[in-house]
Amino acid sequence: MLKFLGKRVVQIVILLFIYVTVVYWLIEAMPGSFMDQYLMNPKLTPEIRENLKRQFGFDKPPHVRYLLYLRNFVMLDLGVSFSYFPRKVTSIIAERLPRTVFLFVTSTLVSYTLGYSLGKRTAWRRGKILDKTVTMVGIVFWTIFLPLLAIFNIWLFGVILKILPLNQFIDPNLWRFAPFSAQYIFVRLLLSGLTFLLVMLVSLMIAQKMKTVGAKRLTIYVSSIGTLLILIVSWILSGHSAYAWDIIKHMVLPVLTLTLYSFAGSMLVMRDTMLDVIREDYITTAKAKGLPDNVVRDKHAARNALLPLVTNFVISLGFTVGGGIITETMFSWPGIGRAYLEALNTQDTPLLIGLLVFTGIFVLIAHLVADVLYAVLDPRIRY
Amino acid sequence: MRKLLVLASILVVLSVFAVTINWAFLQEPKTLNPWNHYGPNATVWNSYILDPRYGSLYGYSDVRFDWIPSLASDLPKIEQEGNLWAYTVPLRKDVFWSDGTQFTADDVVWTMNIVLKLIKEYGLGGNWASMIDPDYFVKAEKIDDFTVKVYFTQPSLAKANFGALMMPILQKKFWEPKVEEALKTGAPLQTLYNYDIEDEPIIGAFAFKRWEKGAFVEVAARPDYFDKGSVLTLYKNGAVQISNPKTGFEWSGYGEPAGEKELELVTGPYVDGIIYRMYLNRAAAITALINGDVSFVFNPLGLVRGEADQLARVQNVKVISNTTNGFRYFAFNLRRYPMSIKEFRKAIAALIDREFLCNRVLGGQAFPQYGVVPVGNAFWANPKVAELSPGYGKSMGERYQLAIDLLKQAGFKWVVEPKVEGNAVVRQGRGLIAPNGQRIEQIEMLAPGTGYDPMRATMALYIERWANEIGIPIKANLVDFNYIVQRVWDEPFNFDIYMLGWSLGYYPDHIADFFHSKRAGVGDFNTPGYNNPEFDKLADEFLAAADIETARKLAFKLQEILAEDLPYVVLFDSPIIEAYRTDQIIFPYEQTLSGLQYVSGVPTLVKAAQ
Repeated sequence: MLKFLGKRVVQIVILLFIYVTVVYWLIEAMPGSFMDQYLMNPKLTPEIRENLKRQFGFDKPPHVRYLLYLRNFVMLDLGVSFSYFPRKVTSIIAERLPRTVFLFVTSTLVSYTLGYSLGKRTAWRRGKILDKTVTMVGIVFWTIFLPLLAIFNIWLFGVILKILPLNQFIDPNLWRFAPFSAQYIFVRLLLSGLTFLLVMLVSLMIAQKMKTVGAKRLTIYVSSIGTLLILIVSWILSGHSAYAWDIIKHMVLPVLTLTLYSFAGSMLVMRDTMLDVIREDYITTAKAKGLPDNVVRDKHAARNALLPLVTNFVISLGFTVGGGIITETMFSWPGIGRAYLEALNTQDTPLLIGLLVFTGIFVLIAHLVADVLYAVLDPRIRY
Repeated sequence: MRKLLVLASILVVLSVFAVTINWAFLQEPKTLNPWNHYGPNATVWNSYILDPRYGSLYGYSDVRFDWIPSLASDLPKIEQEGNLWAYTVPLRKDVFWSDGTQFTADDVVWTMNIVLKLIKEYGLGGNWASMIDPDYFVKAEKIDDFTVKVYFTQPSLAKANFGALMMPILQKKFWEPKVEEALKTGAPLQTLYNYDIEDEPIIGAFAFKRWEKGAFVEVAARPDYFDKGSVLTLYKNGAVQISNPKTGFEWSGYGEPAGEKELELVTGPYVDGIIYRMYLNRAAAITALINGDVSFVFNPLGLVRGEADQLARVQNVKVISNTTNGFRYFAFNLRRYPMSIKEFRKAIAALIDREFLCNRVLGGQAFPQYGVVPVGNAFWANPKVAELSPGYGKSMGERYQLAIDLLKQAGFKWVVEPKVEGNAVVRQGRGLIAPNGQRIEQIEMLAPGTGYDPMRATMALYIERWANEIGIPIKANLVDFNYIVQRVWDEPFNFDIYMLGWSLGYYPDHIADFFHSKRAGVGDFNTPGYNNPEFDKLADEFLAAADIETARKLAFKLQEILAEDLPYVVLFDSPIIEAYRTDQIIFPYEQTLSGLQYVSGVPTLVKAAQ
């Protein structure tokens, strides 16, 4: 296993170098440059334009800029953004990342949970009304034009029903008196989520060691409900709960939209794998033993069908740091995806390359994690 | 305890009656630091918030854009001192910064001189460098606490009146130690750009309160704003009067302030604060306007027809339309044959029926433009220019015939000569032969594609069709905006004809920037390569003019020369359409060049509706 990991890390480093190079030269090859906005100002003399070129590094030839970029990259420095000059790319990513991660990890979790749950049920009732309805609804949402779905949801829940906020990620009327920034709450919400997940993981491991089903269930229920209660109480006691609730309230609509749009993907993967699994002899044996239907479905079939879904999920988590241009734009949720768009529109090459490289690193890591998970989850796989 | 209760009650009452208005932005400002904003990082979104924050010696009046004193107490006195020209500017004595410090000559002198130093020694660029042009600006000197002398190498409306004398003035007490500290670092400009401006004293009416990144910026009205209650009166005879009954400041100019009034405005602020909310797409901002979450949407491109129609049907939402200060045009490369032949350019211009294109083809979404100074900039636009345009007011048939006659007059021939009957070309021209005997094979017209600007793309295709009818082999090439920039400026001048657009400032010195022969070098702005000694002479005089009337006469003459020589064919521009909620805010006026957002939504004049 260690040898495999070592090999994969070396591969990732080589791949990353190729990726950075390709990304750099692709963006460099785009017509025009950030300097064009100065080029288009007749009030600036040629000397001043030359000075500006020097400030942004355009006085050096592209290959020198590339080598400098690589040197800085190795030192974990992604450079200085042009359009947010002189802010560092890493500081822009750090500012936007919590907003993006919180929204997209939540929607990925909800979407995969829904997809898993519906996928196993539809496969179990193949050809029945539930299967046909859920599959059709899922595929309709999957093929719908995302901005249209977003506008429809905003119109329905924000304008007609008036039960959810229209846009943005916070309500300015509440936050104008807040003694801290929204970033502070985002980071704490993320920490709360992480705490909850860790507790759940530990309680699952403990539950595995329990002997009776009742004890297992009790461990999981007590730990999850208990942790949730402790987290809610700590938020209330901190006096920040109104702000956290405001963010969560604003997140409902984008999460709902993203879930509706994407749950069909995971549902169909789960359904297909389940259909293969339920034809296996051991499922027939389990049924023949007289085990209840839901036990056979959940414990015998679904667990074995979970592997491709877990792989997809882990890789999707890698992509969450990239955010989504359409979702972030439609819901005025300025995260990493929106930064991509701004960087592209202004030809802010350091920011654009930085964002692509940053996302690329996470995706590569997610692939590595998925490979390792394969071995952990499926005893037949050995590296 | 009782005092505390009274204080709490007052605060509660104040918060109940406090009026904070909400406005929508489609993008977030990049910076609120003045060095950065007026330097390399200027965006229109920064300027909506920052421009009302700072004061300058002179400014523009509302609506008419008269050049009037702002922090100055009178117009400058200009006199020659040796080789230099000195502008003596008296300052107002009733101006105070938000920290209570009095505004004095020290602030003006320090700001101007330090900006010059930063430009010369450290390469400070952006708008700072266009406001303080080192070729013109020499220095600023303090005469007394309320008088400054600003020295220039020569008198110039563009570089002095509309340049250095309109630059934002920063507080010396706050910024001097910070700049000195920055100069000691390895990267002084970057250090300056990074300074936090949260506690920066300002002269404007709204102080910075909070910037929640990605969500909103809030500014709060200064209760001690020095100019509150000041009355600006514009008279129909052209006179302007400013009076502040509270401080006793009085000024009038441009004639006797008597007779019928055109406009009278009493300066506020009338609201307690403004929250600029960030909506990252137009649909969201418009929905917020319909829902009443915001009362005005800032959008430099304006509303499109569908959005305006939708909003016009919403109760308590008013849609307004204004002309813009810009134009879209195509330029000939006069370095190439046959674009160098004036009659050839005039023939193409004669074919273009702007009224038909704007009203019929584009359905009224654009308005025709003829001159290089937009008609909306009424003071500087020469109204005769439209009539000088070839084919103006003629039918399509007459236009075809005029174009053919112009080409013949210049010695052009055809293999198959076009024939016009009525409004149609009954025999298409083929094989255009130039006066030197050379067959004209193809002329490329670079124009932005439909994704970037469908209006320009449509016009290019119509021009191609009309030109082809009489045998001029124009081929419209709809390409990416950056590709046009690359072909025109980078390659350089690798074009026959290109189509682009300009947004302009109020003072029309762009005429000299775009057409003076000294600006025809690589990467510069006389892209057609226009070279007319008579024009150059007048343009120099225009740039050096020290009084507005002389400058205006020269600007009119320059526009006429350009309408005759046609290095550019100005085509059209689109009006800016905006909308606001009448049940939430009242603007003091609605008709103003480039719309209400061009004046940042007049924050010191806007009132709450109830």
